[in-house]
Amino acid sequence: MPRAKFQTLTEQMFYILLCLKNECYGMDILDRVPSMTNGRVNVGSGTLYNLLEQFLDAGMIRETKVEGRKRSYLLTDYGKEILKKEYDRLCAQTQDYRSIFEEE
Amino acid sequence: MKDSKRTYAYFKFYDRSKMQAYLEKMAEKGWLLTQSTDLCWQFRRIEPKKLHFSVVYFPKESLFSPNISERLSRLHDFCAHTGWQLASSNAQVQFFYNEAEDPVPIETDAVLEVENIHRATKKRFLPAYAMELVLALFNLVFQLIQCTRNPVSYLSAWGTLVYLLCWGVITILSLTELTGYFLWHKRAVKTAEEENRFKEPNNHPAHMLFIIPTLFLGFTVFIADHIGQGLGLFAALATAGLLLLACVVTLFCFLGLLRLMKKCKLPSAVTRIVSPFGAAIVCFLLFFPLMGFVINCFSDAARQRAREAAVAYEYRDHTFYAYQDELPLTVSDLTETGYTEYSRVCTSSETVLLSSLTGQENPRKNALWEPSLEYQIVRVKLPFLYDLCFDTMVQNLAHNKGTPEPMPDAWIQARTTDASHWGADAAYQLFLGGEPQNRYLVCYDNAIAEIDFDWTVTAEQMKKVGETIQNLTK
Repeated sequence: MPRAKFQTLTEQMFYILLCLKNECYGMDILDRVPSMTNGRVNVGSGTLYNLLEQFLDAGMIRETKVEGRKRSYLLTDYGKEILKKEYDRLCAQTQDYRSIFEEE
Repeated sequence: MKDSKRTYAYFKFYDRSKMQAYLEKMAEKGWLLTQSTDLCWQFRRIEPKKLHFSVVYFPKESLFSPNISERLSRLHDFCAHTGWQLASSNAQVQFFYNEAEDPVPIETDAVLEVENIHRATKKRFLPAYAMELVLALFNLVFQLIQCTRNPVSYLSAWGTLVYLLCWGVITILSLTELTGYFLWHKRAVKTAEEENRFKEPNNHPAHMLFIIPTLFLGFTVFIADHIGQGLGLFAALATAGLLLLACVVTLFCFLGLLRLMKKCKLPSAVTRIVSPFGAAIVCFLLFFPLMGFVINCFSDAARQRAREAAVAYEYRDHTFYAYQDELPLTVSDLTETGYTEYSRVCTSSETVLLSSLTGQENPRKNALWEPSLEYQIVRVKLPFLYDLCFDTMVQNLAHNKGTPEPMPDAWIQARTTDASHWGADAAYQLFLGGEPQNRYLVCYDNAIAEIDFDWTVTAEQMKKVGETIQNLTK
């Protein structure tokens, strides 16, 4: 099935958006995601670049500062809404898992 | 010891894995990529070491832009942050290397990677291959039209036949390449979406490896058969080499102009227009006069060789040449003529499809009252070509070159005549305005012959001609 854009988020998308709850330089995300996940999730530099462009186009993040070639970004309300939806989806999945296995 | 070297870049545009593997092997041998174009890659000597390479596609970059865009610079910064150093940048294709043992890949999302490759391919690779396909189809259709207009001379000559086949092969190669890309893309999208894995393209070599030898073969055989007849294979190979060189020089001119204009920081719109047209003009100025010169030399040399084999004679202050080729059928075989100074010209060609023999026996200019004889004997080796050849030859018979133009069609007719004298299956005689002419088309089961006599032919002569044709086409 084709992945409908941002209807569900990949792990990488999820953590990038999570990093941008507070203003953050794009480049810093490359370090934050692995440290946030104990190295479980890594985001490639090309993938990060493309995702930031797509998030900007979709209005999920906005640019806050431009210092030469460095740019910082922040999650928009729409971005927060998408992130929340994903969180709810993951919670629902966790709940479903629990309801099945805790019954046993 | 040289500190730099160039290699030919024979990779498919979208085959990033093969490129990466090649660059990693070169680094192990002590060569690091420093510059890349669509034709060749340049390397500098380094300490041999294990490096990781990553080929990244950046569709938004323009080939004609004088500077690296700010967007691309940002990608370079991102990559540098994770240890990926830029080795070379070629518009939509970026080459990075990393010295770390197990670096985080630049692309960690297969869906995005396939999307990027597809967008870059649409911008760079697909238009070029579509143009190649159009050119190949144009040549193929043009050659097929020539073939249907005159199948006898076309299909009996190796030059035209191989040339036609070569364009057919190039058309198939172009179609295969384009279809191959779209099939790979479809599978790559599916694999990326379902398994988040990058699907490698099939391990076929770049089709340029087939296109160049095919073109070279086509040019060589065509030239050997048409322009350089009698001058041998070497002259044809040299000319075909020049033609191919013209294509390569045009490409280098384009890349050189592109580099120069980018260095001069000219706007991308100007570079986009000037560089291809400039290259085409340079190609035209350089190679067309050169090719003209070569063709003239060949034609002069061929004429000279033909004259060397001929006897020159003077008639009314002009020099004429009488040729002395061997003919399978001569006027003296059929008549009691005592004239011996005929000019005899025989040309023959043969392929797996057809063979054609043309004979002309004409008296010298000072004896034009003596009888002359002209004929073409065609042997059809594949039965399905018989009707095509027959239709063309019957049309040729009806449109006699000697008749004044234009002629109403009803005035020129090829009427059936008694074939038994010729020992043939069918025979036709040309009639002009109801008057019978001494021009015949004689058909056997695997051969067709057109004979133009200069006298009223007798039944006995018809029989003799028929026997000769049958002996020749057994």
